[in-house]
Amino acid sequence: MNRKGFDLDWITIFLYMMLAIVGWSTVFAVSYFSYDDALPFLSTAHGKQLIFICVAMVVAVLILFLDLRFIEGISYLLYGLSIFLLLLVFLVGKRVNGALAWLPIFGFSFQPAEVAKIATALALARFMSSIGFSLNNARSLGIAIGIVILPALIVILQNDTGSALVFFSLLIVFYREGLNWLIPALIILLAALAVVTLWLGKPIWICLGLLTLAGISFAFSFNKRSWGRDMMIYLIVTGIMSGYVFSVDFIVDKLPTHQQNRIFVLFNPTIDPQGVGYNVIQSKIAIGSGGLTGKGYKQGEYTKSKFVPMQETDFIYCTVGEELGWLGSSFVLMLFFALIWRIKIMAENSKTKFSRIYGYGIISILFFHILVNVGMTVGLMPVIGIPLPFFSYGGSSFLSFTILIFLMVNLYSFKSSVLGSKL
Amino acid sequence: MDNFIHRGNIIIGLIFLIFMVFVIRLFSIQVLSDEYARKAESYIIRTKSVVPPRGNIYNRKGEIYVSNRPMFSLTLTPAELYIPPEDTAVLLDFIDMTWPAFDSLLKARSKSRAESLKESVLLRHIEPGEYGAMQEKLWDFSGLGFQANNRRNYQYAVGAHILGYVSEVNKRELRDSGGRYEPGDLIGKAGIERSLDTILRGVVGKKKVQKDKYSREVGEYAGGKFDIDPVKGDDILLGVDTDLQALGEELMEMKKGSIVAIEPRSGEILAFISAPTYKPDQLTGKELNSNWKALQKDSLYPLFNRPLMAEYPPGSIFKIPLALAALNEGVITKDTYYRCGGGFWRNKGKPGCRLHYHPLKLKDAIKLSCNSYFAATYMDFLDSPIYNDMYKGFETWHRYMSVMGVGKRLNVDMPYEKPGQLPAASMYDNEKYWYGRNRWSATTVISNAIGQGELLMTPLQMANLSALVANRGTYVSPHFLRASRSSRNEAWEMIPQETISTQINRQHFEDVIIAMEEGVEAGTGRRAYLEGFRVAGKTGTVQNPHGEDHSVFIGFAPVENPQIAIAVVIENAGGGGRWAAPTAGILMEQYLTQKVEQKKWEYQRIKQARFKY
Repeated sequence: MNRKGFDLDWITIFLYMMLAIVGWSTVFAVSYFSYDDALPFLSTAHGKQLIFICVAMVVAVLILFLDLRFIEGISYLLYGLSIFLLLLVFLVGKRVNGALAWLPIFGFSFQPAEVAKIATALALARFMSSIGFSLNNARSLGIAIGIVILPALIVILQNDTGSALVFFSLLIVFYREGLNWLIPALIILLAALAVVTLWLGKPIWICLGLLTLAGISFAFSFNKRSWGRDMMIYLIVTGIMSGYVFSVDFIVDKLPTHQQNRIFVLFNPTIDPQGVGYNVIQSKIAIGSGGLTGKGYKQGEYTKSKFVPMQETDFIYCTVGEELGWLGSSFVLMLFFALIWRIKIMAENSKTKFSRIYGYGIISILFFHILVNVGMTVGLMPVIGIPLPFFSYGGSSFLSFTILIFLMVNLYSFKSSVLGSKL
Repeated sequence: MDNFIHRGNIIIGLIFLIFMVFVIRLFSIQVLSDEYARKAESYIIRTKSVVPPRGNIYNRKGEIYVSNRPMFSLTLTPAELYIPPEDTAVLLDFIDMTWPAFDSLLKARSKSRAESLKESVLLRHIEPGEYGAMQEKLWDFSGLGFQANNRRNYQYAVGAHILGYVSEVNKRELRDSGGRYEPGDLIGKAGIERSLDTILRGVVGKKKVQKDKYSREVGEYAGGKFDIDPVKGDDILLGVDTDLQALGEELMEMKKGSIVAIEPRSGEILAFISAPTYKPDQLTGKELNSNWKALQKDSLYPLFNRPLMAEYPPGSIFKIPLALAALNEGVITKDTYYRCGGGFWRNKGKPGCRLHYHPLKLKDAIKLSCNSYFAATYMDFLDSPIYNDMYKGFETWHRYMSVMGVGKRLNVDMPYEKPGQLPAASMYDNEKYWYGRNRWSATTVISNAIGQGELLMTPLQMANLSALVANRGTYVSPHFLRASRSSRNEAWEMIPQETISTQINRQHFEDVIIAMEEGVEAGTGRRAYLEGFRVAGKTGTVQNPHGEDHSVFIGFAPVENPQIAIAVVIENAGGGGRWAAPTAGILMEQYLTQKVEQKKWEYQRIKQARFKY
């Protein structure tokens, strides 16, 4: 243990503590009511959350005692275990908010998907850092993708779309490790096309637009010798994209109504003001009413009055927005960014490929949660139920992010250790 | 070994970019737009009006005339309603409804979830006694509540037409008020409650209550920081002598007519009687609407404010202003003689007159109310060589009458005042309805001389005329409000009044007043005579084509220092000397001596008198 000691990355720990404190304070602000004083502390949401945080911190300290090789060693085992737990949900799981994603143990419920996130990040790191792995090798790439896709598919079957999407965020790791940039670029392009299609709702016009773009592009790059081949390529690409545009329209049309609504509400919350649109409208009102400096801590009467659904969990960022205003909500975002940045620095400075890849795994998961959750509350993202790290009320979420972060802190502490290095 | 180290920076750069998008988005909805803040406020705050008690009204003696007393309303919140099954009858009994009626009301008020969560009034005007009993019985009901409010309390149950009444503001008043009133506010509907509403109502307080997402109230908002405290309405001091008012109403029982008494020096209205009348507390509380409807339907129009709105030909009392105008213009002097002989000889005996000695001069003409004398005066006025043109003469007469308050509103502090009618030359010139230019002369309009013809005056104008004579040529517009004071301030703030002068020579008034005094001592106004006081007066018997003549009297006392000027109109009673003059005498005695002693017999006689309508 002495060899580590002061090699711990205190900046990360500091940022983690800050987020934990601000996060718990927010839960407290939401759930505390003076007339509840008579209630036992531990029966309130903020009381329970405090216990979860304490447990998580004990676990964090325990993680710091683990050895790098042990962590790497158990990666696959943990991955297998988490797949098993995910499957177990189908047998003994509990349904919460429509998603069959919870396992009851010792009177608590926890989400195996949370374990699966950690395990998948570790397993992916181990596989991609193994000798002989190459992204240019189709088999290697296939297995790596499989590691990510498998838990995602199971989670989708559990009707927990939000958690499933988190796994796809690990694409960032592939990009960092040298995946051809065209692939993520293509994915972003297709995503953008899908958004535009749904937004405008007129696939034929988008196809005409694409054709025009292709025509302009073709005219500018006109080459006497290869114009025939060039035109074929342009036509084929435009054709594929048009087909994609039409299929997006078609598929969305076939989606269950509640999922369709979640998408369309993004463009126009008023189409369903009492349903999914309600969340978005109320959430924007709560945040928007905060102004520059907010109404003051615990003074957020709008969120206090429970106008916004899922106030303590998915929509907790509303309370930050209402009570702390623009300054406070931006500060929270900056804390998150600082943490991500710090993890990136740790990842890049890691002596091992394993810890670097794992670091990017954390960045992907953390970033995706913030992107979707904050994006949803400010009306820039569809309503997808995933928690805001360290803020949303709930033990499994807080614990899993703690483990994610402290595994990284642990791995990073080996950077100066010769023995710890695999190089 | 790692060719892709730059990609870490690209990733972190893109992440930063997305965070910045969020920060900008937050800035736009939180700082740049106030739409969300406004919406949030409208969703969580309900602003309730807190209606303060209206100001008290004090009488001339400074005693409380009208105050307030607490009342309660029973409210219903349909969504929260729970009636213990065995107690349904108790509730229905209290609200005096059958179950089907209550059930349909309940359904009507819970059409939507939001609506059924709203508290609305179920039963108004619950007296404190009933409230106690109700509260006891309804303790285990839920969804029912009580609201405290006030109703007017009358210490002297007189002067309903002075006071008017208070009721909930209606749609038209809401629209016309320009936002000063809100639904449910109280507003004065008539009388001084209406005209002085802005003084009496005070400042309606605002209480901000926080609601939850079901629109239920959960407590005060921000600790009451943004509440506006209600301010009780200002108290007002009236010039009304409630004893005099009560006596006047008593005398006018079972009669139609008006009495207006004014303190000449100040223009303060001492008594203001409109008969038939009603008790002011008939138009308060639970019975307001039903009583109002009943009064409205009454064939005698008890809601009609006669002193302000009934326009009568003034009759012989109009000889006084004519005499004053003629004296001031030099058309006649106090020593001018005219013949009578039972009629106006210059116009084929019209108007007619009673038999009395003649020729006679002004003093005797007023004392005996000689029609011929004033017909001659009027004719000589219009055709006077001073003007050399009948039109000019007529206009001069018109100007004098107008200066003395005939044919125009006196701007009393009460709504719906009628102007009466003073015919103008242009009116007679109208070919379609009247005579046409140069097609009429003094003889055509000779009835104006004796207050008949096209002349109309309200009792208020008659009283003002009386006050004007008492003051020897000046008057203060009649008014009720003497002073006001805010609920915090102990001192009364007197309302300054403007004295209006007629510019008529004071000596002419003295001449006319001597004649009026003789009229009371030995002329037509004998029954207004008071031992120990110099009373001046003039009777009028107004011809009424629809029935018995109206009995009219104007007068004041004491002559040397007038304390009270009075006008009495009793419809269909006959001669002014027989009914109106003694009524005025009784009231003057009451006002000057605080008792009715000399006029006891007249008091009994008039009280018992009934006239055919």
